[in-house]
Amino acid sequence: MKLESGLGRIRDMKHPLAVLILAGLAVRLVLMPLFSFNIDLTYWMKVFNLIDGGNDLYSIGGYYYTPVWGYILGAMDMLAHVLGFTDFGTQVPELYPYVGMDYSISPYVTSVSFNVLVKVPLILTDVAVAYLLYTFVMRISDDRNKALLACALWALCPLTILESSVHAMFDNVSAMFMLISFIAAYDRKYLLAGGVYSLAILTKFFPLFFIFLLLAIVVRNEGFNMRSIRSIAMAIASAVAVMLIVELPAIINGQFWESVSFMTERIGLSASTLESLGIWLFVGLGILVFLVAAAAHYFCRIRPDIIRSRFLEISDEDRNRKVLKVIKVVAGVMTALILLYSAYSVIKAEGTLVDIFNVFAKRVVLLLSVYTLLLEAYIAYRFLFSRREGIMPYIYAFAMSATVIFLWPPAPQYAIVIVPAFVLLAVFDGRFVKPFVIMTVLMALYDIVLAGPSAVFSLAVYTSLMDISSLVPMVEFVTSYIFGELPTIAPFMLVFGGASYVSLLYLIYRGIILGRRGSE
Amino acid sequence: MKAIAVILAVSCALMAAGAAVAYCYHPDTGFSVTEDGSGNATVSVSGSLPADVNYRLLSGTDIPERIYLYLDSDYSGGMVSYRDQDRMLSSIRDMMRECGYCNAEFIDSARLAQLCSTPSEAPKRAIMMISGAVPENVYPDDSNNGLETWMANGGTLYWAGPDMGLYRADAHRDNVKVEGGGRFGDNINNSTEKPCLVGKSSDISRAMGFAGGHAEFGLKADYPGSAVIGLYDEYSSLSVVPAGAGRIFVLGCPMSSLDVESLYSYVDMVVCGINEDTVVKDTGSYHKGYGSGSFMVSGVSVGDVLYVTSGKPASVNGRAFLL
Repeated sequence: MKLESGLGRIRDMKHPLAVLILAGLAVRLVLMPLFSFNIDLTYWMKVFNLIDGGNDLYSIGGYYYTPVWGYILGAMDMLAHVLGFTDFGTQVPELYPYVGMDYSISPYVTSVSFNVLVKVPLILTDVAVAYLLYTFVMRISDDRNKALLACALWALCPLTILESSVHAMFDNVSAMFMLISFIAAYDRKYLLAGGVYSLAILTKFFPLFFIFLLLAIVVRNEGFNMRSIRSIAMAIASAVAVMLIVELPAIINGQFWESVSFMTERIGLSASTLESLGIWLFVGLGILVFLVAAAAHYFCRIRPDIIRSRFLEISDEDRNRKVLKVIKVVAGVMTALILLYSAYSVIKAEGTLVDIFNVFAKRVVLLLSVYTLLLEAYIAYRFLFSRREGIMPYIYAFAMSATVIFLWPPAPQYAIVIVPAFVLLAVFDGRFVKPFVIMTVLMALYDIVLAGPSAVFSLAVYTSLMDISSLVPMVEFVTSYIFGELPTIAPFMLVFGGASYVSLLYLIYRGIILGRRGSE
Repeated sequence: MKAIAVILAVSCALMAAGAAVAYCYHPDTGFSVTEDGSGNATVSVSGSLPADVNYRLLSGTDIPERIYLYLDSDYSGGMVSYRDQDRMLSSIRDMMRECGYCNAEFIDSARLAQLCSTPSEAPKRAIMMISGAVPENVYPDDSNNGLETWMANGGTLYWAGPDMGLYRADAHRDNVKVEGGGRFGDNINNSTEKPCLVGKSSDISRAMGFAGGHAEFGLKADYPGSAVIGLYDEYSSLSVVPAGAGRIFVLGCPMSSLDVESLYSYVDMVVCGINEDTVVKDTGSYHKGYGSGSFMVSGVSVGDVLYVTSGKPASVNGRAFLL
């Protein structure tokens, strides 16, 4: 059955939206008690155990993410106690010999009731995103077919189904906040956009890379004037206020840097290094904010003619040339600075060659993050000066900005944060539907390969459907090595991970080619 | 916009509730035991919300009367930062309190030196050190390690890190390697492999739920006189060795390598006085519903320890009853 004809049938029903959401919900409800990605669920179990033992999220190792998901787990912990689901998991000695290999196996297996409980907020989030996509598309297009397609592409997407109802990863919460932030910015509700954007980053840091796009949306909506500056300032103030509220418990407990370590590590900066800078880091940030504000004041209030004559009222070719030149200069300077920093870090590094390599790898990640941000800035610039009217430039920029985040191969769950952008793109440009479906199917398959036998550990330990000993040969296989030190699972990961990555690159390629054609 | 408002309201309410739980919630489970004199003990469990309760009936335990947690910013050594030691030991002290053990106190190197040089302080008392290096005022010269005196006098040492005595911490937070200074020498793994894990579980580790398999500093599993109470293969992730009139517990890794659940189990072992002579007589579990509940344990004898905990798999709340 083709997607269009399938949607046609649903559209003709009495409550097509409800049918779509209920169908998505039904699939998830069936999957959630049966299959689970054990290794991540055991991490969520640690949070329950930390809280119940009188510790907080960051007092001892166990929870590494920013606080939002930890808070949601806290609420679920309370619910678990109220409902009497107090058996969170158990040690499984049969698995002990396989712990610590390249393929991650935990010595614990979480209970079915625990798995279900943790997945409940994630599945509700899926429903919320499906509904948000439907209402947003309906509002901007006034086309019910498009709105239903948007809902279906999220609610019935194999990747979103798998991540919430099997993997129990919270990337969809971050995706939901990012989508709300995008919608709010589009609707010129900047206070809301800024605050929710902060929540998106504090859930999982990937939305950080949308910063230039959001700024560009404000400027495109309001024009090059003081109103834009005021709106941006308002959004930033809102984002900072929300961040302070969310981080308040960690700040009070002196754990701020621990609470953001996942974020800083992902861009190649160690939280302890940042912490060691102490007050100077905030002084530096303050100076930076002051300089940016002063520059904005100067160019918008005192000498607006400079921007007008040298940037706004010149030909597109000249402007592009100038922007590319600036980007190249910034890239060059940043590369030189980071290389110097890398050299300094490597000289200072102690330990084995592997430790030194790890330090160097962190600096490479920092460099890649800078390049990504520069690409994001370029996409935001192109969006800002796009001559196309209506919603399409917004959607294209949102989708392109999303893809750039994962130019280096993402884990399947990470890709969730960019799915809403692709759903919108596919809805408004049907040529993206097929690549989108292919990408999400391949990503889902990749995730199934990663889950491997651990997907049924809970069933084996907590039900009589199977026995853990019957899974041991499979566990032995996935944790074994071939040709010396090559994990047996590696070729499978290469094939499935590679295929899903290629499908993502293909989507980017289609976006660039079709976007260029569209702008011509 | 209405949908967004509803979604955000629900999200914020959920997060606020979760933050309150994460930073303020405390399960109110409490335990008490009554014996009928004929080998049965009735465990009463109080608390308004349901809880998973586990018990272990143990014989041959030796609960320390006092546990000293060593922490000194000057002599913290270079392996584990002072801050990490502080956080870890503070958490351990809090976990002990949750398990009904309130006799843990922090000591610095001066007090440690004083304890080690006073023979009467050692019996029935324990020192916990997670820095991996003995401070130089307790270890003034290569042959005079005060902790050995402590154990010889009947004290217990809970040790985590490289071979005890191999490193001395100076006043500059650095470690000085003492050639031939390690207590166990070649019997300690000293593996550079990360992570270095062992996979067989001992009876005690099964009964206490200890699943920590790190053994980069593990003692040989068959070290003479030792008892494995953790996991093992050739080396052990947790062993106890009689030393003089006292004993030393050798954890096969830095304390920070233990996962949350194993750390709770480690604390369980400390507060119920597990040692080389401990025998697990019985284990069991009980699910308490809303309100109070009780269950019976049979086969108890004078001198046994009945250790009751709530939480699964981590024993987040507990109490050791000396019968």
